Order: sequence, then structure tokens, then C-alpha cells
Amino acid sequence: MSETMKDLIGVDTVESFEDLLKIRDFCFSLIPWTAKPYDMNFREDLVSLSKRFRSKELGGWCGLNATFFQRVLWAAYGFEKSECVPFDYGVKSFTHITLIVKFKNKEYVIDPYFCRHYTYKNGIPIELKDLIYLIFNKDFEAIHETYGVGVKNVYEEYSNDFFECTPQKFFGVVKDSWLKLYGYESFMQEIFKATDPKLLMLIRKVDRS
Amino acid sequence: MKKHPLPYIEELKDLFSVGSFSDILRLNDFVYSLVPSVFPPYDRSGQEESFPELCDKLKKKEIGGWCSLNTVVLNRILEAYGIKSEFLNYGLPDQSLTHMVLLVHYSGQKVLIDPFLNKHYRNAKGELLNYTQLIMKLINREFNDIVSIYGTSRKPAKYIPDPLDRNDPNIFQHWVNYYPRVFEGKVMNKFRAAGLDEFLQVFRSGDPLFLMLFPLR
Repeated sequence: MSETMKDLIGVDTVESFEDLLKIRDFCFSLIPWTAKPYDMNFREDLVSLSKRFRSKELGGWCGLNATFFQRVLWAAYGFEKSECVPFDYGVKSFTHITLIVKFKNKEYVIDPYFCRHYTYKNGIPIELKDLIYLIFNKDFEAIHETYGVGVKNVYEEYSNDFFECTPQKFFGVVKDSWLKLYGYESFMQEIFKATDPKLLMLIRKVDRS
Repeated sequence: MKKHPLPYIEELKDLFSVGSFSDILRLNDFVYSLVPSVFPPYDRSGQEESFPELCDKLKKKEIGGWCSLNTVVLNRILEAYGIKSEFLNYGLPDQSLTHMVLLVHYSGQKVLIDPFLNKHYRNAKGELLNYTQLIMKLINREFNDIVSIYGTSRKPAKYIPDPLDRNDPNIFQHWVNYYPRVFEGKVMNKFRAAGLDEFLQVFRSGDPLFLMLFPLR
């Protein structure tokens, strides 16, 4: 019998929010970061694609992680297309893509690229609409970035090899590049009068006709 | 002789091409006056009529609709003139506080045009705001630098949409023609009844544009 995505992930059905997070953790660890992101071919089978990620033949950035996570939810777990949609936001060089997942009639932001989601202090996930309210009011203390478990392989061009990153460390690497290369802090201060990256979520990209 | 893109629309007979933003606003002004506000709103799903047939029904006030129908009609007209536009649907569906507008591609930017309320947005200096600039001004609470610019045509109405009660018997006996500001005021009253003010308190400000921070898919 051929291997399925469920076999690879180890989650049979999505019964709880934690099951969703396990799938997200799997995607984070599976997809390496490479300098040249792969533009996913929608005709390619998910299992064979997973094997190419695992062998580090292919890799990508936030767009690939979000698209792959979305396709896994559709194809392997029966989510409707309207129940897991890309959440594409930001401006200038500071853009990001996560996924808005509808689970038990509530929408949540799940970020497979950084292997995290947003919770209150007590660990309860924050619904999207409440998250937007809190961010707009700059109530960042109320929002916890809760990271999952996993290890991402990150390509390092000087050594021509991969090094392993936890979700927190990986986010640190990416944010560091924003700080050093693109003038992140002065830009954020100029437009938001604050530097928390979650503020970028308020500038959502729209592209549908 | 140059072929008119919409020969069946008498009101646009002298507009063979659209080059300037004022041309686009003229089309928006036309759509506002074309689409009546009626109950129930026309549901195009399953309909096989052509666009000229749809326009004809609207002209005769046989059908009408709310923000989505206005937006679709403007999108189709702009398309005929070779102007690209995207639908932007936003708000909180659980509270029936939703709206639909058009992001029109103009001069390398996306500019928000509201065909239902017949307006667009500029800054206090009168300069056109693109979509990102508009959102940034909201985020920075620069409300005084967001100015609604209304068109001049009037909308025929037999009903003002009520987001709370779809069976509201508040249907006018006769057609009333509303200028955009007055029509918007009526629509906002209905939104207030649906909890707009409670929603806005969370943002510590009273501007309904905050609903734009919640785009819908």
C-alpha cells in the first residue's frame, strides 16, 4: 500500500486545534529554507513533493509553507477551500503569508513558516477578529506568540550546507535580516509609531477579481 | 469611426475611451444612478441574462440591489473600457456589518471606489489616496486626512438595506432619489442598529472605515 500524507504526518483526523498544530509543525520541519524558493507546482503529488523537501532538493519561504499547509488541509484532511485561505499582508520589503484556518466556526491565524500561532496568556488561541482589534490598539502584552516544535533546515551559503533552527531561532534569523538589510525599525516607527511586526497584519494585500 | 465599448448605454454615448480618473468617476456616478436600491436585492446566480439585458432591467427599475450589485456593474463597465479592478469585500459577517467596494487599477496604483455610496477618498490636500495609503491613515488615526469625495448623481431607492432584518417592511411606496451623502446617512443608521458603534468602540474611534481592516474572502 502506498504511503499517504496522513502516514507521513501522523495525524489521522483533525479533531482538535492541537491536531492542526501538529500538521503545522510537520510542515515547518519538512520544508527547508533555501536561497531560491520553489514555486509549487499544483499538479505535483503531495507525497512526492514531501520527499523532495525531505531530501532538501526543494525549499522555500513563507509563500511555499502557507501554500503547502493549505494543500495538505484540503487534500488530506478534507478542509473546504474557504476554510483555509492565505493571509497575505505587509508592505514594501516587510511582507509575510500565513494561513487563516476556520476551525469549529472560528477563524485563526496559523503561521507554518515560523511554526507559531497567537494565544492569550492562558494559552487559548486568539480568533482573527480579536487579534486584529488587539494589534490595532497596540495591546501587544495581551498577545502571545506561541511556537510549536520542529526543526527547520536552513541553507547557509558560506558553508554550502544546512543548519538546524528551532521556530524561535528561525524567526530571529529572519527578523535579524529585516533589521540589518531593510531599515525595519525606522520604517515601522515612521508608519506605526511602534515596531512590533504584528502591526504589518493590518495592511492586508487584496488581489481578487 | 471608433466603436463604442457600451453602445447600449445612452448615458455614456460620448465616452469612447477612459483615460483620466475623472472619466472613471463619471462611470461610478453613472452606476450609482443606474442601480436602484430595492428589496429584495437581485440575485444574479443562475441568471443567464447578458450584461446589456441586466443594464436594461436596472434602467427600468425592474431589479436593483446593494453594494455587491453596484460593484459588479462598475467592474463590468470598467472592464469594457479596458480598466482592471478587484472586488474588496470586508467587515464582520457575524454582525452583518459587511460592505463591498472596488479597487480600481489606475496609474499603477489600486484606488478604492465605492459605487454603492458613490464616493472615493482623498487626503486633506485633495490628493487621491491609494488603498495602502488609506489603510495606513486609518492605522495612524489620521482621520482628518481622509476625505470622502462624493459623486453628484442620485440613486433611485424603494428600500434602504437593513443588515439586521432582511424582512424589514420599511419599503417606500414611491421611488425616492437620494444624493450620496443622504443615502450614506440612511445606510449608516441601519449599520448602527446592527452594532456598528459597539464595534467602533474597540478602536476608540467612530470611523466606519475601520471595517476595512477585516477583508473577507
